[in-house]
Amino acid sequence: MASTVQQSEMSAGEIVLGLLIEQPDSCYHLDKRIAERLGSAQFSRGAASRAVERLLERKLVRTADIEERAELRVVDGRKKTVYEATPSGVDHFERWLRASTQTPPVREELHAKIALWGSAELPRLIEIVREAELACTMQLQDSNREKRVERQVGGASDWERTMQLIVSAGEAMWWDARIKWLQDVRMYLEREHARRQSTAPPRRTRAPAR
Amino acid sequence: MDPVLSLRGVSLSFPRGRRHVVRVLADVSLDIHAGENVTVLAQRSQGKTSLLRVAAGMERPDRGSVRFAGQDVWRLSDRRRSRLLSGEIGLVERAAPHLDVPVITGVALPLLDRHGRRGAYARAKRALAHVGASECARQHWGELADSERALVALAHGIAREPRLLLVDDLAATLGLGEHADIADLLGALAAERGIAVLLCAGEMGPTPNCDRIASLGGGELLVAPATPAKGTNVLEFPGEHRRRASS
Repeated sequence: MASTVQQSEMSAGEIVLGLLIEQPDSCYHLDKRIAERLGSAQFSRGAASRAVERLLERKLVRTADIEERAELRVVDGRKKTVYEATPSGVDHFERWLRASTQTPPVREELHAKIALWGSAELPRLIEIVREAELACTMQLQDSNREKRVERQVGGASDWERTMQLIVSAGEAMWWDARIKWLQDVRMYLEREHARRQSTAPPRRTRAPAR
Repeated sequence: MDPVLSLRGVSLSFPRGRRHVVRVLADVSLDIHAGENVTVLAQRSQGKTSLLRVAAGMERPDRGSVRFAGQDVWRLSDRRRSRLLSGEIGLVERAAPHLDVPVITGVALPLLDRHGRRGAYARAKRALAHVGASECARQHWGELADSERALVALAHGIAREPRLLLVDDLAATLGLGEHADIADLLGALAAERGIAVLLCAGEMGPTPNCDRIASLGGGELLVAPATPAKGTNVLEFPGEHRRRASS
């Protein structure tokens, strides 16, 4: 199925660092927390451990030596290393948090394909757009389900709920705009295809209406 | 158990002159079970209202079947079909009511036949309380804010205690918090009362509180499957890991 992933400039490094400042944790749990908090950003499983490696090199995090949070250390009978932020890690994160935010570049596969498609084989392009549209509705549906579970679990403070609402609104509206663009593209291409069929050199049989 | 609403291969088009037709719905299929909350995302004049009218048994499709709780609604007599609409199906539109009466009277009016005066008013009062619009009961439509109108329209829909609630773009023009409230209300109606909810929306809204999402455009309804296989990310490309890892 076609990829419609937004190429995000959001770095896993800062997110992992922020989560470790909130609470020392293992890579296993970090992956879960990233998915909960930033589901639509679609960081792959294992993103946390790669980020932790880079953060370790830069001495922004270190392995934590804490006995009281033993539940974090063993998952499925396997021991996990727990990491925590260093003071310079906290500094780095604070600077990142307060720095101005850049506009993310719109740079993704489907745009390139449409730009380079040429005039042949319109039906295949329409199919690709249709797949992307369906994939987006599924993605929105999935992230929405996760958010709902989170809300039902509860335990969040008013502040956390407000922030969750704002983040989730941003995500939902992004997918909304995306789906509408894909709807427009699909309908436009379908019309264009129908127009070409009807003005094509005379043929004995008319193309069946879809 | 039968789905509350089942559309199969539904097509609908309107003639324009002798040669042309406007295709509104093309081979649309959709099942909604009790307690399920489905959102259809569509832009303007892409068949949102037509889809709802077909689902409500108000518009007969050119092709395909419309079933309510297993019954083909177009095999019922006109009388029984209209009883469905006045009893078991709630259609929520935000159009101004035809009569300029207080809100509670407007909500109670369609219930008078079936429940009598006291019963109708009691139900109307309960419905307004349920959506959190009790304080609007004595106002007239013209005095209400957009967000209050949305709530009153919803009260209209649920006052008859329907099994299927069809909602036409209720939260358009609302702000983030109000939109979220409506989404939560619809979600709760499905989850707590077991109502099947079909919302046709022009905007997804900040917190889509639904079980399934579909996209309607050019007459075609793309329905995301109810339960994608666990652990598969449909958007993940084989090269994705590498690209991210190297970034």
